[in-house]
Amino acid sequence: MQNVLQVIIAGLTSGAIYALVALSYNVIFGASGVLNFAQGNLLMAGTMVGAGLYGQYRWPVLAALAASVAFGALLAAVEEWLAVRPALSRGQGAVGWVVATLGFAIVLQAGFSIVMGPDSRAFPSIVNEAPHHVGGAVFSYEQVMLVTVALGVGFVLDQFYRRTRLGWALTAIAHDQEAAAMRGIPVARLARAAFALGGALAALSGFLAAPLIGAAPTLGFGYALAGFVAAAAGGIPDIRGAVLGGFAVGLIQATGVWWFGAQYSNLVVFGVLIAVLSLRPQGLLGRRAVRMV
Amino acid sequence: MKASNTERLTPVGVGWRSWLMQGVLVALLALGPERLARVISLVTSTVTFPLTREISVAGNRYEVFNLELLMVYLIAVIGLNLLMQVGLLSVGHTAPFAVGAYFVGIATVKYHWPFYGALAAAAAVTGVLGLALGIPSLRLGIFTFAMVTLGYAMVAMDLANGWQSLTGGGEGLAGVTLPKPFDTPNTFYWLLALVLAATYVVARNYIRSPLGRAAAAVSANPVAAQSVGINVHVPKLRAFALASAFAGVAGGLYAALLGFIAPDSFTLDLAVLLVLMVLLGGGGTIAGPIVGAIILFRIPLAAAKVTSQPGQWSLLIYGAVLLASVHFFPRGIMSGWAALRRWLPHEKAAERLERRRPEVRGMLERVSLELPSVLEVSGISKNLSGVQALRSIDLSLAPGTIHALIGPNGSGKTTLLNIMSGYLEPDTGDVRLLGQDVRHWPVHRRARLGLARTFQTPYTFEDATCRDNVLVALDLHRRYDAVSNVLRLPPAFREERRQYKRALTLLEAVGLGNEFTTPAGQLAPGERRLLELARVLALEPKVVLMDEPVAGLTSHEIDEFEGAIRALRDAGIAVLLVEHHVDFVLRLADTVTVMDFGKVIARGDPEKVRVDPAVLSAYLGQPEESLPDELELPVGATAVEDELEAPFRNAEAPAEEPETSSSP
Amino acid sequence: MSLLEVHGLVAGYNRVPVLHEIDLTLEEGQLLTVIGANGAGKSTLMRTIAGLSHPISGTIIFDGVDLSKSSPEAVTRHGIAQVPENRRVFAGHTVEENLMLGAYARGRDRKRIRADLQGMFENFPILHERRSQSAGSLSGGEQQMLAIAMALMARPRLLMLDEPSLGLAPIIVQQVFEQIQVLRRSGTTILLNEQLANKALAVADRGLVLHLGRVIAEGEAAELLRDETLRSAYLGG
Repeated sequence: MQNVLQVIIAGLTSGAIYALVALSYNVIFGASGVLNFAQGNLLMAGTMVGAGLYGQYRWPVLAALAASVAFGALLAAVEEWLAVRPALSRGQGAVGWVVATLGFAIVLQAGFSIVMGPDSRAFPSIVNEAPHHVGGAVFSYEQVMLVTVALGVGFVLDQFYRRTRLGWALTAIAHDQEAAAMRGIPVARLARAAFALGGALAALSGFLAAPLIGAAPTLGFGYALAGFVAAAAGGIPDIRGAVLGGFAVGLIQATGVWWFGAQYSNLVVFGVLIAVLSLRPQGLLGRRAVRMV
Repeated sequence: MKASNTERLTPVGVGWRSWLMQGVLVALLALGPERLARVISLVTSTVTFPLTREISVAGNRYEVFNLELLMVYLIAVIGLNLLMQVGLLSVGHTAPFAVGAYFVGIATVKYHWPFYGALAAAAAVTGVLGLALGIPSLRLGIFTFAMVTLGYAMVAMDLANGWQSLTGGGEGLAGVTLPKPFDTPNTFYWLLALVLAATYVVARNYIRSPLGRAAAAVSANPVAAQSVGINVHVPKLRAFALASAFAGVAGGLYAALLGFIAPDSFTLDLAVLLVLMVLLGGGGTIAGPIVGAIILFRIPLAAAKVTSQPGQWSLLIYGAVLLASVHFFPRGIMSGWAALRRWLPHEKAAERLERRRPEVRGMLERVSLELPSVLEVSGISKNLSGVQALRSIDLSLAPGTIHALIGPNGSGKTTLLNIMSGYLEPDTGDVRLLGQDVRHWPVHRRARLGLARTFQTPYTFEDATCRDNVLVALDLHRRYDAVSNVLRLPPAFREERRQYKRALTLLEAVGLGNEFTTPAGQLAPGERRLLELARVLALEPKVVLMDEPVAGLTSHEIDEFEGAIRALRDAGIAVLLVEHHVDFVLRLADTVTVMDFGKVIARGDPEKVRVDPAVLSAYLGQPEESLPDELELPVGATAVEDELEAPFRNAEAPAEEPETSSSP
Repeated sequence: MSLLEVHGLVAGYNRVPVLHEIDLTLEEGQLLTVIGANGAGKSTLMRTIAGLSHPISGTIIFDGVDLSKSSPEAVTRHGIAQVPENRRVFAGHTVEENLMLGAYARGRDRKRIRADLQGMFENFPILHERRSQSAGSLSGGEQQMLAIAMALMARPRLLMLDEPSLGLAPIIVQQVFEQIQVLRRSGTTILLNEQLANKALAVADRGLVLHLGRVIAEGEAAELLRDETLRSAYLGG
C-alpha cells in the first residue's frame, strides 16, 4: 500500500539518477555546445560493465566502480573524437552532431547487446539492500547512497565551477567560445576533457543505480529522455538547476505513477518536458531557452 | 552545357529525364509481386554477397512478404522525407505509424468498419494529430525536437501497452484481414503499388510546388525566407501533418499485411531505420530514400543468414551508418551525386563576368504612390544588452528617392534597419509602412505589404538553383491555391510556366540569365548579390532596404549595382542604402542621414554632409593636439555617457582645418 | 628582425578574400595603427593574426616563428594578446576572475600571476573598486579597461587592440586613448585597429591605411595625419 512517504522516497531515488544524468549533460554542453544523445547509453554502459565485473566476476566493488567510470570516460572521449568533432568541423550545424551522437548511442546499445547479450541482468547490492522502515514506508541504504552521491556530486561540481580557474574557463567557454579562445583558453582540449568527465559521471551513476534499476542494454534511451527533461527543467547548463530539476522530475514522476499507474511513467516525464518548453523554456535557473538547441 | 530556352522554361518534372525515371518506376511496379521480388532479391543479394556468399533470385511467399513490408515502410519514409526536407529530424515516426495501424485494426476488427473507410479516416486522424503535436514543436531547435519526437514514440508505446481494453495491451490485436478485392498476399501487392505510386506523386508534386519551395527556403535560411514573405511556421506544420498522414496510411496497410499488431512492432529500431532511409537517400530528393530503403531493409535479412542475433547486428550497422554519414554523406547519398556533379568542371565566375550586361531598367513597372512617405520611423529608441543602440531616431523615405544612411561602426545603422524590416522591435517609437502602423508586424507580413531588404552578406538559398531562389519570391503573388498546385491541375501548371518565364526574365535583367539552373552556392559573391537583387525585384516592392550592398565587390560589379539601384529609384521605389563605402553612396544618394552613437548627427544634401565638421569628427575622431607627456591616470572617472556631444565637440579648436577636398 | 612580419597576406571568410596581399612590419616597442573605414579589412587582419581564421595565402611571422596556421591558444602562448572588438569580457564572472582568466595561458605560475593582479589593481583603480562585481555590470568604458588589463595579464610581447573606441562616448574614448598612451610610453608593442583615424594617429608611431582590403598609405603617423589620401578613403572626393 503506497503512502505519500513511499512516493517521496521513490521520487528522490529516481530523481537522484536523473540529476546525475542532467549534470553530465550540462558538463558536456557547457564546454562544447553539444547535447549528447548518447548520455543515457553511457549510463547504461556503467550498469553493464559493472554487472560484468562486479556481478559476474566478483571484483571488489571499488575496483569495479573505478573500471566502469574509466570505461565511461573512455567511451565518451572516443565519441568526441569519432562523432562530435568531425560533425562540428564540417560546419553542418546541429544536424551533424545530433545525428552523430544518435548513431553512437545506437552503436552502444547494439554493441552491448551483442557482446553481453540482450537480456537484463541482476546487479548485486553495493551497500546494503536490507529494507528499513520509517513512517510506514520502506527504504534501503542503496537509495540513501544514491541520493547522497547525487547531492554530493552536484555540490562538488558547483564549487568546481565557481572557485577553480579551470571551472571559470569552462564557464567562459559556455558564454563566448571565441572570446575564451582569444584569451588563450584551450577550447578544443577542454571540450574533450568535458566529454570524458561527462562520460565518467554517467557511468558512475549507472553503476551506483544498477542495484535498483538492473542492467540491460535497452535502458539507455529512457534515461536520455528523462535526464534531458531534468536538465531542461532546471535550466541548461546550470549545475544547481540540474540537481533541482532531477529531483523535481523524479518526484513528479513518482506522483504520476501513484495516481495513474506505472505504464504512464514516460507520459508524465514527457508532460513535464512539454510544460517546460511551453511555459518556461529557460528552465528554473537557466539563462538561455533550451528549445533553441 | 547550356540548356535551350525551351528546356529551361519547362517546369521541373515534365522534362524527358523525369518521364524516363517515372517510366522505369512504373515498369518495375508493373512487374508484379513475384517478379519484382525476384529482381530485388537478386540485386540486393549481389550487394550482400561478400557477407552471405549466396545469391538468391527468389520470388516465393517469404520474399513477396518482405517486398510488401518494404513498400509499406516506403510510404512512411516518403512522408518522413517531407518532414526532414523542412529541417525537422524526427526519431519518433513510429508514433503516427502505430496510431494508423491501431486505428485501422480497432476500427475494422472491433467496430466492423470497411477497410478503405478506416484507412482514409486513419490518414485524417494522424494528419490532424500531426498538426496538433506540431504546434508546440515549432520553435524548437533540432536536438530538442528530436528528443520530443522520441518522447512521442515512447508515450505511444506506453499507451498501446497500457490501454488494454482498446488495444489489447501487450498481447496485441489480431484478426485484421486483407480487404477485398486485394485479399490475397499477391493481389494485396497491387493495392500497395497504387498507394505507393500515389504518395510518390503527391510528394513529388509537393516538393516541386511553391509549397515545397517555401519549405526548402525555411530550412535553408529562415531569415531570408521571412524577408520574401514566408511565415516560417506554416511549412513546418504542413510538413508535420502530411508526414503523419502518410505514416498513418502506411500503418493501416501494415496492420492488414500482418493481420496482427502489437506494441513490439513499433520499436526504436524501426524509427531509426526510417530515419536512416531518409538520411541515406538525401533529404530533398524522392528517389534517394527509395534507394536507401532498399539497401537498408535487406540488411537484417542478410544478417539473419549469418548470425543468431540479426536484430542486434542490424541495429549496430544502422548506428554505424549514421555515424559514418556525418563523415561521408552529410546530406545523404543522392546529394552525394549532386555534389559529384559540382566537381565537374564548370565555367569560372571571371569568364561569366565578360558576358554579363545587366539591364534592370525595363524590368520594373512604375510604382505610383500618392503618399509623401513610403516608410517612416519616428522616435525610435532601442536598448540592446544594456547599450543604448538607438536614441529617438526619426527617418522618412519618400517614393522615387535614394536615401543613404551612413555612420561609423557601432552607430546603430543595422539595428535601425532591423527595426524597420521587423527583425527587432523598438522600445519606443512608431514604424509606418504605406501609412499603416506596422510596429508589431512580423517580417513576413511587412514583406507582403511591399518591404524588401538585402543583407550584409548576401542571403541566398545555397542549394537551390537561381531559378528557385527567384521563384520563392515570385510565389508571393501566386494566384492558385495549394491543392491545385499539388495536384498539378492545368491552370496551376500554366501559372507555374508563366512564373518560370518571369524568373528567367528577372535573372536576365540582372545579368544572371545563363545561371538559371546553377545552384546559388556556386556563384561568386558579386553574383549572389545580383541574385539577391533579382529576388528583391520579384517581390514588386514599394521600398527596398539595402544593407551594405556593395561590400566586397569589385569596382566593375559596383558600377553594375549602381545602375540597378538607380533603376529602382526611377521606377518610383523608395531605396534606403546603408553603406560604409561613402564615396559610392554620396554619388548615388538624393539625401543622406548620418548617425553616430545612436543619434542622427547630420541630414540632407550629400555635398553638404561631406564637409560637415560633425560628420568628419564622427568618422575620424576629434583632431588632436599632442597629448602631454606626463599623465595622471584619469581612468577612475565615472562614465557620463548620456548627454555629452555639444559641450565636448565645441571644446577644442582643431590644429588644422580639414580642407574641403577638390575632386578630380 | 621585426617583432611581427606579415607578407602577402590574403585572408577572408569562406575562401572569399577580404584582404589582398597585405604586407606589414611592426618593430618592438612601436605602436602601429591600422586605420580605415569599416569593411576595409581591419578586423579580418587582426582576426587572422590572432589565429581565429587561417589565411588563404601569405605568412605571419612573429619573433621568427610562423604563426600562420596556429590556433588562438597557441598564438596567445607565443606572446600575442588581444583586446577584442566590443570588449567581450566574461559577463558572468567577477572582475577579478576575468583578470585571472586573462592569465590562463601562463599556466600555474601562481605567485607571479597574483603579483601581476595586484599591479593591475594599482594601475586601474576602478577595477580594484569593482573587483567582486560581475563584469557584466560594468559600464562600457570600465569594460574596456578590464579587457585591456586582461590582455596585459598575459604578459604579452605584442598587444592587439581591436577598435577600442567602438560604442563608447567621446569622453570615455579620450580616457581609453590616454591609457593607450601610457602603455606605449611603458614600452609595450601595440597593434591598434581604429576607425577614429585622428585619435589613433595621435598616439601611434606609424600608421597603415586600409581601403577595400588593400594598403593605400603607410608611414610615420604625423605624416599620415596631414595626408589627403585619408580624406578620400573615408569621405570620397
